[in-house]
Amino acid sequence: MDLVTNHHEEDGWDVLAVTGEIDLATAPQFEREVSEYIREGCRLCLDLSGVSFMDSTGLRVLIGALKGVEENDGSLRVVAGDGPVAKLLTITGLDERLDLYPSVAAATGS
Amino acid sequence: MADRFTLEVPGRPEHLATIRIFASTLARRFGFDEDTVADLKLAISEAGTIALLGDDESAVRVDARSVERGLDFEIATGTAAHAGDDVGGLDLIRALFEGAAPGPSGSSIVIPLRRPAGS
Repeated sequence: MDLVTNHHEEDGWDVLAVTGEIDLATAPQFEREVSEYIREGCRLCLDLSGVSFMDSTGLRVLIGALKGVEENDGSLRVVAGDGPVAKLLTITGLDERLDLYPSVAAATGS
Repeated sequence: MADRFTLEVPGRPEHLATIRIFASTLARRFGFDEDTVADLKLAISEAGTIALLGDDESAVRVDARSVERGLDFEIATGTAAHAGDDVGGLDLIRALFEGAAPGPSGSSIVIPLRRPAGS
């Protein structure tokens, strides 16, 4: 299944909504698109609630994004939903490292 | 006598999804619930990724064998069966399926799928 991303701005946040499956085949695209919004002082919200499958290749992109955002004094917020992404974050303990929100509205404060 | 099922796909990342569909279809056919199927898809994808990163030239082969209370999946990984890192690989597979381990030859990963006793 292809990975589809959609970007919009909301209350000063770059919101990148992702749907589809993230694995070794699609992680490079995910990484490329996320990196477009990492810059000085960025405020990036990744909406992964529409991701139907993600394995550790997607986690590595999230870890890289977190590092990139921190190095640029920015903020990264993640909407994981209640499906496979949330479960994977919990199993691996990454839910403790990422700033998770239940919805885009909650993440952007809109 | 055990039933055997085999899938072999070209060793390219775009076929990981095919491997997941194969494994999840079999698991459903054998009566496993959707939570278990979701865990299996993740474990199979991790094993397939190990295979692809270890040797991206070869085909990826998945064998499944019916056993008394479920299925044994075996994914050929070449020499990289022990591969893992901070967030994925064999450690993640074991977190999902406690009995998962490198196969006898050391060049595969075996993922046992079992129904609880009495179910």
